[in-house]
Amino acid sequence: MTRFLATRVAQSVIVLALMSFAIYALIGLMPGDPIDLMISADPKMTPEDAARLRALYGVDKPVVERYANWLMAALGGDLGYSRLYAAPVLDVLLPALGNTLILLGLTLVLSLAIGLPAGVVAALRPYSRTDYAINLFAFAGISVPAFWLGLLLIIVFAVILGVLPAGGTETVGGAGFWDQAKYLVLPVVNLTLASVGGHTRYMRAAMMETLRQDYIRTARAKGAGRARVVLGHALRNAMIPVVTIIALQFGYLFSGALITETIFAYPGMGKLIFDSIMGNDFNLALVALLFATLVTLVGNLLADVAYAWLDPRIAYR
Amino acid sequence: MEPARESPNAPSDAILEVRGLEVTFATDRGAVKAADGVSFDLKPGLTLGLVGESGCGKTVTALALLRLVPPPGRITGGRVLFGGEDLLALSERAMEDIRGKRISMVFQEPTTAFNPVLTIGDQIAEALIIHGGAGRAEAHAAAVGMLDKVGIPDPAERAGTYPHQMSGGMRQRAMIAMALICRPDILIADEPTTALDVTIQAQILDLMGAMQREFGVAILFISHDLAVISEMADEVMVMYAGRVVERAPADALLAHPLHPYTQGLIETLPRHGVGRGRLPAIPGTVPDLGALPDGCRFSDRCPLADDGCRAADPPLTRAPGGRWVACYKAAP
Repeated sequence: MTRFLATRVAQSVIVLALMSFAIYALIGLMPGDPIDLMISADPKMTPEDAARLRALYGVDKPVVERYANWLMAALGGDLGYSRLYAAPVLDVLLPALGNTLILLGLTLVLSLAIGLPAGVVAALRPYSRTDYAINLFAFAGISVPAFWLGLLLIIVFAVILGVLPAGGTETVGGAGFWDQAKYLVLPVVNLTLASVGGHTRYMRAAMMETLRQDYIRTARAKGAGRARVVLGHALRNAMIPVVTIIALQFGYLFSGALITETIFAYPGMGKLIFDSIMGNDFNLALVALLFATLVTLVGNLLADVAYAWLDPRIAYR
Repeated sequence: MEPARESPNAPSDAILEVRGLEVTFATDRGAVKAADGVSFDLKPGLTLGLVGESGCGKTVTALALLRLVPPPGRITGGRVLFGGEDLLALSERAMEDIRGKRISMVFQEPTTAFNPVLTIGDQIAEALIIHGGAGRAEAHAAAVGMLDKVGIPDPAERAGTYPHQMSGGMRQRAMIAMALICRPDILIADEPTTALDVTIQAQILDLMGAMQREFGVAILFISHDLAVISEMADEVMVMYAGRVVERAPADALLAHPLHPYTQGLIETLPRHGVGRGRLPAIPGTVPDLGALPDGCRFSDRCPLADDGCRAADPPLTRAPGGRWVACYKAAP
């Protein structure tokens, strides 16, 4: 297991290195550069000024050379300066990272805590009224667009009822844990409603499949009651495919919560990546995307560790 | 021969009496009866062999005794009398107390019948924990002892391994240990050797015989293989298309089969030193349960069938020598 982990960490480092170049090259392919934005902001700038600025920032050099320069600086701990936010990249990134991890963590915990039991209950009585009711909610959650649901939540809870804030992370001047918690409710609910349906459906499918297995019949033939069959024999087997889905979703939610973050004016990673790309803020976009890659890699690694824990047939060497 | 074989029909000594058992499956084309009026007795320390082709209702009959018929199948009639109680009338909770403790089962595929994520020892000990109220350590020690009894070398270490780390034969031994750990009165063995190769098959049959002698358990031994049945069973019951067509002491059935279907089955057995030509086969195929022939279900494949056979289904009737047969043409 130790050796497996070491190998995977080494692989992850290689993937990160390759991704850093790929992202760098892709950003280089984008139309326009920061100097173009300066030109449009300052009509008095001459072509000579622009050329001088390009040379100053190094944007006139070939992409490989630029990348090599960036890599050397990054390895030395200098991730560069965000042009858009006028601050070092890490100073901009770390708060957004924290915000996203809070949002993501709460969403994941909540949607697993609801989705997995709901899926199990549905699988125990397939095609019953309970199952149909659970499926109805699951499909509604999957089908309703997140942005529409987000707007609806704002209208109901912020505008009509006025009990929750419509966006942001805390009241100006009114800091404190409960104040911040209030700002998290709507975005977390929005993201949870969007992802809980998927978890329910995956869990239901995996559990139904598991309950058909021979060893479930063996357990029942031993005299195991329903609870023992489901919790002692089926659940662990059924979790194996579900873990994959959760791990994949982890990476997706990290950078894909853009719409929710935008609607609730929540300064997370999705919005940060979007803004930095639109603003041609190369340094920030690059590092933010690398963080998204890192989180996806960590998610997959955790999934592999979880497999070995769930399934003794999987032995890592 | 054991003296018990002489009196297979004494009613009082049966530990399990099955009467008119009927299992119905709802299909797209309507209800079909996978087991239709199945009746038999199991006696302590003796083995009843249940033989028939695939789909004749053997497994469904076995599962019905434990009320484990999978949906869309349902038990729609009959009685299963065990210790003066009808198992079919018990609550599910009461039935759980019977399963694995009084009546247990060995399945065909030891590979898939064990839970892949739990150790063999835990799975064997579980039956004791469920029924005996045993603590973990105590149950585990008993599981190791049982693994030793079924001939697994190094049982203490083996108890900690997972099913995939064992060979098929070892797994089936462990399955037998799991079925017997609560000292049940009845063991149902559904094709326990079919998935194993021939040498292992013989070892498992020997083991089951030895366990029966040690624990006095009554065995319902299911197989499509008459040769295996003849080795194990004291009495044999032949099923065809959901019905019992013949029931007789093993020796008598093999020596003088009364039903034309049983005769066909025995003729299809390869024999040592006899002929080198093609093995005889029963013409035709097992009828679709949804489209049974009129009258006797075997009539469309039977060489002796006449209009009488096609007019009415023959009931299972008593024949001399403690035998039963469902055939108008049965040779007396």
